[in-house]
Amino acid sequence: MKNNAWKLKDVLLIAICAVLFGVIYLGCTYVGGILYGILTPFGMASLGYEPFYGIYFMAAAFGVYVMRKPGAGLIAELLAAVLECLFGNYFGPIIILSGLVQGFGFELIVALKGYKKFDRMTMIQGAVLCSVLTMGYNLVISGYNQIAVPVLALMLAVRIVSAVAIDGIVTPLLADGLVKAGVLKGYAVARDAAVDLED
Amino acid sequence: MTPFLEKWNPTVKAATVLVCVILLSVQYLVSLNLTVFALCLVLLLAGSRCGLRRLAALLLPAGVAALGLFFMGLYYARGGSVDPAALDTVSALPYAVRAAMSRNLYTAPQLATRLLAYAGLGMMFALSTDTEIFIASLLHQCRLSPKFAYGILAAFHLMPGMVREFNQVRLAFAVRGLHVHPLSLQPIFTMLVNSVRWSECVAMAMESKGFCGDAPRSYCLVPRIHWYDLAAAVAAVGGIVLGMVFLRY
Repeated sequence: MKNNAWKLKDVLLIAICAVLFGVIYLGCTYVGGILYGILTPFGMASLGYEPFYGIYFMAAAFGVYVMRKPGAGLIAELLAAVLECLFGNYFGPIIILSGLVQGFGFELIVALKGYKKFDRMTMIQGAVLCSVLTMGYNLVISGYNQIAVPVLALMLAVRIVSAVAIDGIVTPLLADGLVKAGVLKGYAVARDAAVDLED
Repeated sequence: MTPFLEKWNPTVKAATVLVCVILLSVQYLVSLNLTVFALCLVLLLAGSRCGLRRLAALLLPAGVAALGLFFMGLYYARGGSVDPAALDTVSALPYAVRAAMSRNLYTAPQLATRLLAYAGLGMMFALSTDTEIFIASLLHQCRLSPKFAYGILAAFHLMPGMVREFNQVRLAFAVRGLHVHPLSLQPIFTMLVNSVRWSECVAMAMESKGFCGDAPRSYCLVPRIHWYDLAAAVAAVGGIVLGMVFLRY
């Protein structure tokens, strides 16, 4: 029987991994910053960070894929957002609002599949939905509805490619690697992998 | 005496910021955005103990982001996109380009100042809120489970160690002649293995000290909501609503 309650080690795993993903993002902001600077005079500055957008969703993707329980995507992203807020992001608690949208993307896909399917295709669909929802958030909150549609389409396309690569392919690969290394014993992803092997 | 912004209950402060952001997202008034941004800076300097250096460290990326959005609005506003090449190749700008630019000259500051207003509100929270009090406030005012509250705090305090460890792991790969870039999977995988182990060790350490997360416990820090917390929230939200009604540009 599945236990959907959150244990302390589950919370700590997601929170600590969220910090790690934050550190990785920090590393990428230097590259993103250079791209942003180069693209600013051409009016395409926001495109500079789009290739790294998938890293924002990593906490939700990792949480959903490893925990495989209702609320994992939302809780993982909210934990990551609160931590980012504590680290002094200049958007403060606004990050929590965007975290909610990001977590909802993955949560919705796995909920629609009854929390039963966590294969690569589900993760890719989650990444695409997450990208579309966050663009919707940007349209309303960031005022992107004032920007020309072709530019928004280009930004969305880059965001989807980034999210699919990082959250739909790389994050599950990393989690599968952790299962093979034997460090995720006791988590749903390892139990399901064991069942697959028996089958 | 504790400055006012630091005394403001963190949960009420965060909720106020979120309501203000939602209100600002449905308007396009440059003057309101700039007023909010300026007021936040004044409040921060007068009502908190945040240093100028820390404020500047956050203002710089916010300013760069606002500049990027300004140019984006200037060239690619909806219904008025301008091909930057057109600006280089003609000495006298065609009427269509000038008309589009005049429209865009209003869209560009709208986008840039909106981001500045958000950054002002966010910084007002980030630079005047103590981590422990914020988590304690989430625990008591938002009924956050102690498991999540202390889990967040544990992860937060692990951050400096994780950055150090991540750099060591990358260095170890470099020493072996393996080139690592920010998105290299090998150091990330090593760090994930470490993270799983740390989470198990920290959970074990907390539980061995008697923490279970569900049992009733006493707290040394219990933030409360006072009348002035709510008054400040009403003043902030009311001020923005008044601005939306009375300001024109």
